[in-house]
Amino acid sequence: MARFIFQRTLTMLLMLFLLSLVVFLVLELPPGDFAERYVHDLRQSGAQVTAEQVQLYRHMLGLDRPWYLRYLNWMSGILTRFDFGWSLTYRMPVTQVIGDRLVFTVLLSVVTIALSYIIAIPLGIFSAMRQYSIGDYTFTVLGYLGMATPAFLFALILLYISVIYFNTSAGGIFSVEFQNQPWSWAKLVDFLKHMWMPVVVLGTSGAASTIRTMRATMLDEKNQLYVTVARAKGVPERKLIWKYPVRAALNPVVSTIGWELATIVSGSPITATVLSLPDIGPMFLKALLNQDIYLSGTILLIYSALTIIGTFLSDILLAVLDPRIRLTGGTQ
Amino acid sequence: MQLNPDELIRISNLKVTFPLDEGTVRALDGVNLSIKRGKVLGVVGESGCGKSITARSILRIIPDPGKIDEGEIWLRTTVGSSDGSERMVDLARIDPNSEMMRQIRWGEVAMVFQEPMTSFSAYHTLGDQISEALLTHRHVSKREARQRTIEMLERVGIPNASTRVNQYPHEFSGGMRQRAMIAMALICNPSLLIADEPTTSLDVTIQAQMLELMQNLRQDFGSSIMFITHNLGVIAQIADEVSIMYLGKVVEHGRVGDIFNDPKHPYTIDLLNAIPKIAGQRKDRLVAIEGNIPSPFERVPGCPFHPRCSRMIEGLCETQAPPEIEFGNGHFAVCHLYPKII
Amino acid sequence: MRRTLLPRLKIGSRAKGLSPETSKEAYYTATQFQLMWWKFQRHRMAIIGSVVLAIFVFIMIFCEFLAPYGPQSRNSDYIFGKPQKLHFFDEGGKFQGLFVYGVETAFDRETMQLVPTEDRDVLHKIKFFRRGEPYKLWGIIRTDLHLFVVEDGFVHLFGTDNLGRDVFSRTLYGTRTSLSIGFIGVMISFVVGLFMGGVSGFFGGFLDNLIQRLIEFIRSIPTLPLWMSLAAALPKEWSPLRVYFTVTIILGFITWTTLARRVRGKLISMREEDFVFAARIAGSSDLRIIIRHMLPAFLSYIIVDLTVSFPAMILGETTLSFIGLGLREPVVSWGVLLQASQNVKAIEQHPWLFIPAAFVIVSVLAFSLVGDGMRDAADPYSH
Repeated sequence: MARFIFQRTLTMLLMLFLLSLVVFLVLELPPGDFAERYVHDLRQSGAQVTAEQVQLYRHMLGLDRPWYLRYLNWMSGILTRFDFGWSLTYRMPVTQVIGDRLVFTVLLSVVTIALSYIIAIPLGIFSAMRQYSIGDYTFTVLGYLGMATPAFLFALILLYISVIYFNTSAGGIFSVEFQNQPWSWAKLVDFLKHMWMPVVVLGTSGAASTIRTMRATMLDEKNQLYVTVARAKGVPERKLIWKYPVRAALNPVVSTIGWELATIVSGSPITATVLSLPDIGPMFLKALLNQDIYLSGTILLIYSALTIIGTFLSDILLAVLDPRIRLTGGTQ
Repeated sequence: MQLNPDELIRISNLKVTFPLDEGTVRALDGVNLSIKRGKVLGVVGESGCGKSITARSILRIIPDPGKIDEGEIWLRTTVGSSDGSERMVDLARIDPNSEMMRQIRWGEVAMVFQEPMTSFSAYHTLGDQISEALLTHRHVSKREARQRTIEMLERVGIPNASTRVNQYPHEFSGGMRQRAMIAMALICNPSLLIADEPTTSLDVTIQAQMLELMQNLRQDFGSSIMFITHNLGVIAQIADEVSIMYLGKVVEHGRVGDIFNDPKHPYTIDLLNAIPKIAGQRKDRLVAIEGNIPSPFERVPGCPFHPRCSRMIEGLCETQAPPEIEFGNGHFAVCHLYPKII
Repeated sequence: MRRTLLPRLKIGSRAKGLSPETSKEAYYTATQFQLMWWKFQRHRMAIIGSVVLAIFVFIMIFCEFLAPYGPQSRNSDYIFGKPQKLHFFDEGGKFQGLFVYGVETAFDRETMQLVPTEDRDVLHKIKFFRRGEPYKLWGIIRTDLHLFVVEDGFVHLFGTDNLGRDVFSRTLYGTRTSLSIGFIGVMISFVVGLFMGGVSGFFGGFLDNLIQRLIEFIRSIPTLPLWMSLAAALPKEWSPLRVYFTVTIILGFITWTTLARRVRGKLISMREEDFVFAARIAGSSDLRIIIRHMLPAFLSYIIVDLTVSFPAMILGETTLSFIGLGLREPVVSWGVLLQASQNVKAIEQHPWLFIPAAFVIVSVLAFSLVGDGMRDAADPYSH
């Protein structure tokens, strides 16, 4: 087991390193750079900028050095000083720009995933136990709809409904009047009133697939011989269901929590933009469009790192939760 | 219905059907059999003849969408009586989800299944699953249950039982799992043990060990045993009486000696001829029974065996259901070949 | 239990009305695709999904004919016009056939704006198979035949946008773009996946190792942010057509990994099979063994995987275009159309501009249903 974890950790670190390189290269792809774009904007607004000035500006930002030097510089900054570079648009260190937003993103994702599991797992079990009942059909249909609706469209639909039917202000995380207020009970209530929507939007697709997986595995497991044996043993039906097929069906669902978390985080940029959340998503989009390379690079790196770490966690969980893998040292 | 004093369970005219999209399967088409106290009944037949369904009917665990249409399953039991006296219950008629049925399961009737590899949950230790049976039916503490489990595992020949009790099924070989299954089946000391082809999926040497084990345990526990197999050799070793099943019916029944020495039904005769004989001449070919079991959706008129029978009587066997003929000593055959009175 | 009792019985025999004997015969001699078809037919939802998909494909092929107007034709008399309702009976309850009311522009003194309102005195009858705006079918056949037009006045079933363009027609054209991106993207991922998976599974060894690591690596990059980064890298000066193809390639190149894994897995399990060995002894070349003997054996799985990856393509395109990183005007796709309703205010004022969203959802739903049905049918002997 220890060896398994050690191996996975090594792979993960190697992946992270390669990723940082690819991330940098991808962001280097577009022709031109931040300086050019900046100057272009300046010229648009009527300023006279000479080619020399552009060159000077570029030099100032360090954009005239070859990409590998900039990459090495960026990397060494991250590794030695936890310095992710300088955001060109915000004129601040990237860590400062992202800070609070990252915390918010992760918190939102964790809350979302917790709620979606709490709701989806019982529904999946229910659907499987009452196969072909009205409830089962309803959840199945909702599940399909939940998976077929792209999150950003779902966000727009919910926003629309809340504006038209509930007449509430939409988007953001606070109403205007609480924007700059210190925390208070009223502000918390207002916050919760706003937060249900992102949680629902981000959680629905994952919840839908959890219901489906849970239902399918339950249906599979409850016809297994060991369940019949338990029934033949005279174990009461309710206890039997929770002890045997539910335990087996939980395994794939719970183990994928790492992937789910990563999926939610990396799937959120568009939704966050639509809902105007103070999340790293809208910032990522803006940074991409402005070629603010260290900012977009850092955010892309965060998304990727979360995915890799999520996968790592899931691999470990899968091994820990299944005695067959756990006890054979994970030689699969 | 009255059970004879020496009878533990009697099944009469049991009919089980499976209504499926493709048609209705008659899995059991009027099964009659009975098991005496402390005796071993061997049930023999080809796969698909309804042996396992008969066994599962007793525990009322027929897989969906199967259902009992007709017939009775009378069992002598102490379950549900306050003073511990025996009474008779028709298992075919009580609700499979009732408390009564739940207590009979494993408390009175336990079963060893065919596939030891899938009989246990991979996520729970063997000890947990075995002691669960005891905790469900007997008033014991967890500690006692564990102690009893270790004892039982030792009885069935699992070494280092006190450590192995905490291990998971995948850490056991097939033979060891089947031993554990037998330990689990006997832990509540049931009055009837059903063994559904318990040795089929094991290799031959392990099979022999298992049979020996069952022989020994039978003497110690005094349970009646319903031993299901398609292997007549096994029956000869372990059974007192034999019921031969074909297409959801019992076609011949008798004491083991009578069946082997004086088989009456052509199907039984064919089955016996199909056993390879070590002492036989080398040039003797293995005899196979002609033809195949017909599709389960078809209903064969007359005697169900007539399409494959070498001694079929034209105009009789394919039209009329054969009568049950008794040959003395409880030896019956359901066949047209024998005159009514003997 | 069920396994021993019901050994692989005549699937669909009842639907075909065969007697047990002949249907058993039919079952054992049926080709793999017949078996799959019988099994697929039993999924009612998958059948519904296929019908919906067929309609979408029809729209994709004949959108010029089905749409009464071109995607860029403007109606300056009806800017931000509401969807016009179809009627059968006029004010007096008289049956008039299918028609829409005319529109007159009234001046609203409160808002000081021109407001189009329904003019109940003017009926524009819908005429089927009539001449209308000229167009070139598939860019080749010059014609002006439309499924339906109104002869004078106009018909905007889904309303019009800020330039007075017909949302109904644009949605149909968008269907063509969005679905074709899906098809081409799936084709790209099919070719790349088949090639990489084939090389990996058939030759094994170093190449296999290399490709497997590559796949693992690609899968560890989160899809949406990667798509966004790549799409953002496209130069603004590129022509819409070039952007279209590049976006398609981006979508296709990232989704091939699933297919490659499936192909590799199947090839490895099949490499040891007797029929492959027999073919090799008979002197067949590697390529021939793969294409002639191995591919047909797992084609069904590939088709299922392709169907399942469709929705991801459609959603990818829609999402990218929606935030302005994907396709741009004058290309019309569902995502491009939805750009018009990027915030609630826009939807609140002109809810009809949101109609293409329904097309996205319905098409993805249909693909998922069909995919599920096919996944189940791909294993024809399973229960």
